[in-house]
Parts: sequence; structure tokens; C-alpha cells
Amino acid sequence: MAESGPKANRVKRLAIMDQDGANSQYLTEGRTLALTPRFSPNNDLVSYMNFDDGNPQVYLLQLSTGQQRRLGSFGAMTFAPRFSPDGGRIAFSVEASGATNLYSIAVAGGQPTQLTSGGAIDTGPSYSPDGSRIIFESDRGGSPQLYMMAAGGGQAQRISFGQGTYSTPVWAPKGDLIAFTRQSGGQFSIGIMNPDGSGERMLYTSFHAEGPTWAPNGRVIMFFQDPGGNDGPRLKSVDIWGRNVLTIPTETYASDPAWSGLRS
Amino acid sequence: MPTHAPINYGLRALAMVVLLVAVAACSRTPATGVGNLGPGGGAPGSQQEFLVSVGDRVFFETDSSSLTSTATATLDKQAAWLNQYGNYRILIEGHADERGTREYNIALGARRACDCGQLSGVARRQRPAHHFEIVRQGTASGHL
Repeated sequence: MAESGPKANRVKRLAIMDQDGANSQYLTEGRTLALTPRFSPNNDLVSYMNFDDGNPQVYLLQLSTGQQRRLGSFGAMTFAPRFSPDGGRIAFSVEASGATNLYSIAVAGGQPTQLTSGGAIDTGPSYSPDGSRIIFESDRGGSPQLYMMAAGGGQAQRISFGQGTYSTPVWAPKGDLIAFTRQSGGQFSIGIMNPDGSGERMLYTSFHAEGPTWAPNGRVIMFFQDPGGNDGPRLKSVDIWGRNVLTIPTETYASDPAWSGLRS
Repeated sequence: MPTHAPINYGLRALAMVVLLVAVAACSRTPATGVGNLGPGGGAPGSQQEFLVSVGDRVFFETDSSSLTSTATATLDKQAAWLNQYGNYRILIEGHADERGTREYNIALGARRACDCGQLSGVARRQRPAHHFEIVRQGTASGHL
């Protein structure tokens, strides 16, 4: 997301660029607020959330044609979209009467499948690379933590047990790690853990860092960091050993990075 | 540091009382008089009176959608006032501190707005549906 303008009225436009910040192009005009873009596995579709009628809804943008369409009409808000590894489905959150649950739907359309139920907030779904499982965040236990379940829904198992709260889990392309955002002690960290919750490591900690996305090689993570105050967010990358922290040069403030798959 | 959601755009765009359910990390922030409509307490039944004497927003603890006793008291006062002056449209906005992750904040703002909408005790049935709107968006500054 390319961000410009004063903090209280910031314009957020979908933009696409090379992984080093070069050749950026805008994909949306910025009349409406858009957030959290994610590539389909074949890189032709981008799902994102768009506030076109005051409440966020999941949209699809076809990069080859520029066409945009709303994923469907269910619940007051739909958000947090993420493609399945075969590109056939999208998992996302639906909010109704204050409760937020996970659903999935075929990209081609049809009826959504409900994956979770209850009054808690379940969001941030991310499929395992083999498509069999979904990691997500839920505050069903009182505070946001990471949970694992089968891709079709059902019983979920909590996997995060460290200090603070855990959000935005993203499965690594090789399936070996989960990246996440952790909030603890007034700080935000970008971290990784094994899919069973073991081996947790923090890679980068600051006042506000959020939203990891994996490089296709599964060894570098990009995220955004907001210094607070009137300054705006910037994209950063770090490797899975916590070294080589880089700031990605962008023309404007930038947030919510999504790394595409390799182009064939 | 709590920051306040801008109230002015709601008043300009919608020309109505905004029953703004905002949030900040600190629930001790005074809940009245934060909208800037100028000095004075306002005439009975005016927006200014609502802002100054009743309070147009309530605050939550960080990461919580549980209402504090102060928040409940404000909602009770709002309900009494709005039931007395039934000619206003009501907009409830849920917000979350911007120092949270975006997707969770969106859901948290919605839960806060819905909880306040249910608990505010405003006589919804006496109003046209479009006079009671819940907007589920935003951070403390009104924008993500």
C-alpha cells in the first residue's frame, strides 16, 4: 500500500513494484481506502480489502485486465483475505453483530464455507503450502493468539504461548515456519516459529512493526514499520536469522507488503 | 497516548449527532467536551449540549471491548438524551488504537461498536433504520 497525505486523512493506494523498490506503479486511484493486498499463487489476482461503502469488503483485482470486483456480499464486513495454495479458494473473515469468524469461498464464486463459529474474533487466516491446514489468530482465549486447524474448519489448536499477543500469522512457502507479529511490553516484534509453536524467535522489534510476508525462497521476510507520530510507515526486510535489516526505498510511505510468487 | 477520532467529518457529512464510540489506550480520558463546536454548553437538545453535558464517546482499555463503569454511565446518559430528543440520526463508530495489527483492529472496532449499539438503550424501534447506523472502522485517529 502506497500511503500519502496527512495522517488524519491519508490516501492509501494499491501499488506494485520490484522487490527492491524499483518500477513502482499504482493499481488503484486512492478514492477509497484499501488495505492488506495478497497475491494469488499465479500472480494474476490480488485480493485486498476495500472500504468502498464505509465498511471493509474483500475485493479481487485482476492484474492483467485491471478489473476489480467484490468477492461477494456476506456479513457486515469481510476482510483478511488469503488465497489457498492452488489459487482456487480464498479464506477470509466475516464480521456479523460484533463476532468475527473465518470462511472460505471458491474464487470462481458460490456459497462460502464457514470454518469457525462463536463470538470471538477469528482473523488472519493463512493456508499451509500443501493446502491441508490454516493458521489464524483468535482471541477466543481472552487475547489474540495463533491457532491451527484443518483447512475445512473444525477443532483448532493453540500454538502460541509466549508473552503478549500474536497476530498476522503467515505460513512460509516451504511449510517449515510461521511468521507473525507479536505485541509485548509496548513493543511490536516480527517473529517466526515452527508450525507446532516451538522454536520461537524474534527477528525485529520496534515501536510498531507489523504484517510479515515471505520471499519465495522462504528465507527473507518483508514487513512494515511505523515510527509513530506524524511520520508514516516504511517497508523493511529481514532474514530468518534476524540479520540484514533493510529499508525498501519507496516514493511514498508504504505498508502491508505482499511478496508475489516466482514468475514463471 | 490516547488520540481522539475526528468528529468533524461526521458532523459535516451527515449533519447529525454522532454518538461516537471511540477508544483509546487510556480509559481515564475525560469523555465530555472533546468535539470542537466552540465554547458554551449549548441550548437544551442541541448537538453542543450532547457534546458538553453528555459526552459523545466512550473509551476502552487496550485490546478490550468490555465497557468500563465510566463508559456504561456515559452510554446511559446518551441513551436518556437521545430518547428525549428523537429527531437526531445516530452514528456509532467503533475505533481501535492504531498501535494494533490492522485486521484485528478492524474486528475489534466492530465488536466495540456493536456492543455499544446493543447496550446504549436508545429506543431504536422508534427510529427509521437509517437513523441508527453502526460504522465499524478505524483506529483512534479514524483511519487505519
